[in-house]
Amino acid sequence: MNENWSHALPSLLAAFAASLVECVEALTVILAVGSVRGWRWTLAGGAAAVVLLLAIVAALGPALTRVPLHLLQGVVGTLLLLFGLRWLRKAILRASGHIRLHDETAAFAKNQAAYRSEKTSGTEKKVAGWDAMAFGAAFQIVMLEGTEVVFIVLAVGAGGAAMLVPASLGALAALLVITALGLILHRPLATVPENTLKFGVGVLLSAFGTFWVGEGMGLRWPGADWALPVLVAAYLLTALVAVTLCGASATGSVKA
Amino acid sequence: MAWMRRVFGELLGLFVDDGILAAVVLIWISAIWFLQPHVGQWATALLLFTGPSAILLLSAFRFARKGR
Repeated sequence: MNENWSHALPSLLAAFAASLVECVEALTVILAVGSVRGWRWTLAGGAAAVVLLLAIVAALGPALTRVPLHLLQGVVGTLLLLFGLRWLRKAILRASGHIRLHDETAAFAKNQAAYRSEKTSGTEKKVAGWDAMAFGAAFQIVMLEGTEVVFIVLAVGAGGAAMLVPASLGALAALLVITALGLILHRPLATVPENTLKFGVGVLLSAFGTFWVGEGMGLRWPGADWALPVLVAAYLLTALVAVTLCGASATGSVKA
Repeated sequence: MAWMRRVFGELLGLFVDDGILAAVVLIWISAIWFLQPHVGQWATALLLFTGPSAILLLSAFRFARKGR
């Protein structure tokens, strides 16, 4: 099996899909803030967060190369496994009807109402034309979602440049797609099948996490590179079984 | 500073939703780390997948049953 493709394609897909979900969530808040408070300081806040995130990556990236690869893979693999299982668990519970599906339109309306009431309540912070509220809200959401994207890219690409480059390209592609859609549509992307994406990403990240934990232990995976797609298939099967089992035990109560 | 606290909280929240799931996965991985020299490669690989899968199944099923 071609080592580049067996690792690069899952890296690119995992980073793209995970980043897509995060970017959609950030876009919803950015649109809500911008439509109520104006675009100038909203976009400035988002841009400032992107610059800060890039600076953090530039500072941390070289430092990570000094960490022994096995240790890095072990630690990152464990974190990635926890991250992936968390997403997968939530996606399973949503798919089986135990947790409500995320609704971007409702989230947009809720955020818009919150910023509108802040504007009319007189508690807004506007000093010399600088809208701290819009800047801060946009900065915060991009920082929060962006931190997740950075972690996903670094974790998925923990195997070195051969995986870090496709993971970075996947995240960049997601950012460009969502930015373009946001500019064209000017409304939240409610039709993105978020839970299906989260389900798929949870499967991929859990598989990557397990793979890196093994590599970190010095394990020579049976089947070498084939172990990764096998792990993906096995986690997918487990998740589908979980949806069936949880669906069968549905009590009728759905949590938000 | 408020956003930094929130970022830290969100960072922790990235990995921990069901605390029991996270704790048991960590214990499982640590146990395999110590057991690995004494069991074969196949057994280690199998344990690395079956443990987290079973823990995930139990965690989701527990939530579904209790509606926690």
